[in-house]
Amino acid sequence: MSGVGLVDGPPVAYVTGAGSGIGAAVVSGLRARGQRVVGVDCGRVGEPAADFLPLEVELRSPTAHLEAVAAGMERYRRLDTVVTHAFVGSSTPFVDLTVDEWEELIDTNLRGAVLAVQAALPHLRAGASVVITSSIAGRRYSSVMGPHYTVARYGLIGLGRHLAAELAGTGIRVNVVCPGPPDTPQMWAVTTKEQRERIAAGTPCRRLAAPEDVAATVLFLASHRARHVHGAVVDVNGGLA
Amino acid sequence: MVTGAGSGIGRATARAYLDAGATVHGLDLRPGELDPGPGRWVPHVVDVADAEAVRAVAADTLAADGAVDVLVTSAALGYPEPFTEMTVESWDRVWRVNVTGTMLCLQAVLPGMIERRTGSIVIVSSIAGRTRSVSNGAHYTTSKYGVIGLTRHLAAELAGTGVRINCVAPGPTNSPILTAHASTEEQEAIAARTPLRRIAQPEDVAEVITFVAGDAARHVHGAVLDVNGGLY
Repeated sequence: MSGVGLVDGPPVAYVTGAGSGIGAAVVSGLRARGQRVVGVDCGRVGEPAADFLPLEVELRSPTAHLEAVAAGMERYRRLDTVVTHAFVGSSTPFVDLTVDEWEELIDTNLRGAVLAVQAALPHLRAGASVVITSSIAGRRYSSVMGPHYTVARYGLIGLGRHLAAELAGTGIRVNVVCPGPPDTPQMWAVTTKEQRERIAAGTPCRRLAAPEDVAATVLFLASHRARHVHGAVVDVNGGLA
Repeated sequence: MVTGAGSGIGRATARAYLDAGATVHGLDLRPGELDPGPGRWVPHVVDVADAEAVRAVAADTLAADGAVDVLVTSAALGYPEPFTEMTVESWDRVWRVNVTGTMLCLQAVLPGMIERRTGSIVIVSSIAGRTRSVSNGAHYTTSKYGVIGLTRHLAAELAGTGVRINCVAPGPTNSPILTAHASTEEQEAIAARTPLRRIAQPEDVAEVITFVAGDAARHVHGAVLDVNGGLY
């Protein structure tokens, strides 16, 4: 058995969607604060380091998160924070949507988050924090993605709200962050530069959300400073209501 | 500038800014003394519902310090009156302090913020503005819904100005507005049905206020942040 020093080392976070965009910014922010991170994604996640265990996983697999969390526990012996950010995008309109496409997206974006939190929960103690990233699409609808994307984002808010009640008395906090349209590779893939400029112009803060903007709110919610924030849905959308 | 700085959440917010080395202009009917620590404490005895008095305090503040970077409106009052017994005087008093007082303070500092193209406003609403008040009357509940509406409206109206406005909605908090009207047993009962099994301390709420007012929340605008331990 490892010594107390290992057990009491810096806090450890499990971050899904850690390979790019907001997830990668969350990983950077956590590491910059001296925390250790187990980061998973469907592609290359980054360079391994003493404070970073990157794992390429099949995000939809029922066992992938169990195995990744187990690998993290084996290495770091504790788990304090869970950030579920992994998602895929698709702009297929409702009339053209196939069941396969619907299921692929819902499985990755919603079921993947459920499986990640389920895998992590047995290791979390009082004071731990779960942050689920949803989207402005979960507050109204997505202007660039399809209905399956919107539905999954609403589902993630429901997951956060439900878990906040179900985890009553455990001291584990759960919150949801809803970024507005972000300036990330996933956004670039489904919009033109002109579309993004139009969205920024229509946003009271006159820009898209930088990954670091969203990561700062995720890190706040994960921290002790947010010790009485539980079940909250926090919009980071520059006023795009 | 912090209104309601004499007690509760306003006082904890003033304390947090003083500890960070800020100059804090604290508005209250009884702002009291506060150890400035590394900051500077400037108390103003004022009723935020008094338009002329608020304008005078804002003018004094701007003359002394040049600008207001952050405005936190925490001044509020409430009474536990049943609706059928509520007088117009009581209704007006609650609305004048909680909503008109907020409006007056915002109007007093916003022109300077807009001119400098920077500034951050945090309005303190309440869980009463998300569901309903458990310890105060309908005038309090409606006033707290009102300031959320003010936040949402101004977030749009301030588009492109560089000024951010957000709202914090605390659950039952260990402050006079709760403790004056809820017995120890009632407070314990509230804590027992709150998922985090406690009522908020003013410092818990001040942490969220200083976060959302600060640069880390630079893309948070028009948001309502619940600080209620999971009590919905």
